[in-house]
Amino acid sequence: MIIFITLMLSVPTLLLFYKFSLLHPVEKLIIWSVSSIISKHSFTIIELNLGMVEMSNKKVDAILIYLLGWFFYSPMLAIIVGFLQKGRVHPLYKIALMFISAAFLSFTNHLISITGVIVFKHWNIIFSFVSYIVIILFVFSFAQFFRFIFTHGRSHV
Amino acid sequence: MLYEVFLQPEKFDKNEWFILIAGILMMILFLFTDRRISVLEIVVIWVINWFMAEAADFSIAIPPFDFYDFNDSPKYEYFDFFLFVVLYPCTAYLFIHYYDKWNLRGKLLIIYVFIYSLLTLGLEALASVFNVFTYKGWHLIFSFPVYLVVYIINIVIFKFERKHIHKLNTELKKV
Repeated sequence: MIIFITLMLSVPTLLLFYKFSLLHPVEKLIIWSVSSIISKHSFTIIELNLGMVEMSNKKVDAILIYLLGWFFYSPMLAIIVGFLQKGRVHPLYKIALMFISAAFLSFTNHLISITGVIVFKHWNIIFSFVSYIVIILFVFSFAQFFRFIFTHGRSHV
Repeated sequence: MLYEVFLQPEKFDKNEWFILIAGILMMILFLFTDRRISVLEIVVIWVINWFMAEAADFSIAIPPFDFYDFNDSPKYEYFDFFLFVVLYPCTAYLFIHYYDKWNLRGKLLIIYVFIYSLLTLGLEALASVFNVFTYKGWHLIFSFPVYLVVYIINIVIFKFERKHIHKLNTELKKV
């Protein structure tokens, strides 16, 4: 089940990220990395430090969760941030996109929890939603900073 | 609950001192290198190496794999963060800096990557003496091929970025 979910989510997201992302190739690489760092950070803190979720002890499940992180959540966050950075789009549409994306990502968290690979102990879909809003805003802020140095800081120090 | 988000070290002892002193030394080295690498390139090196370090350490060093522990507990501590943000990226920055400065190609580049990986392995051995790393199923020598791959990735990304930035600058000059 989790293999099916990983494939169904990762393959189209990677294709979308590769073909239709609005970011420059260097930005793609960096925003994808930053998304991975933030997702990994938050998941580690929620799982290990706070004990709010529990991951399966099976190695295959753990690998699939890592793959989902690198090939679904991170490129998806980079795609969302690419749209949020796009000019000539009304801010209300951007806010709506952010909320819809966070809802979608929380739903995928819920989907994974159904498979039993991740068990929500003191965690729920509302917490996921709020955490994704924070993550999107954080990655977006970094993307804005990176775009600034991308256009102003190409020369040597 | 908030104080559990980032944990304090269980005891401020030799591993914390090692990270602190090595981090400061690395930052001094970073600040005293000549500025041939652009701000953009520095940010890229920093992010990529932070990502690679965190992806490796928080995948194979935590259950179910749990090949090694770093610092006092398997949980996320302030000093883990310092390790990822300062030590690893600084080491990679120095690698790229001298690769670019000496304009290494061919055999010389292979020797450079090999020697730098050995140096990093030495740094890791020193870190494990100071209990920064405690191996459980891992062995120091396993890290050597990992460092080789990490430094090759760094070169590939550095070249990829330079190529794209050069292309972008040329396009902007035409406008």
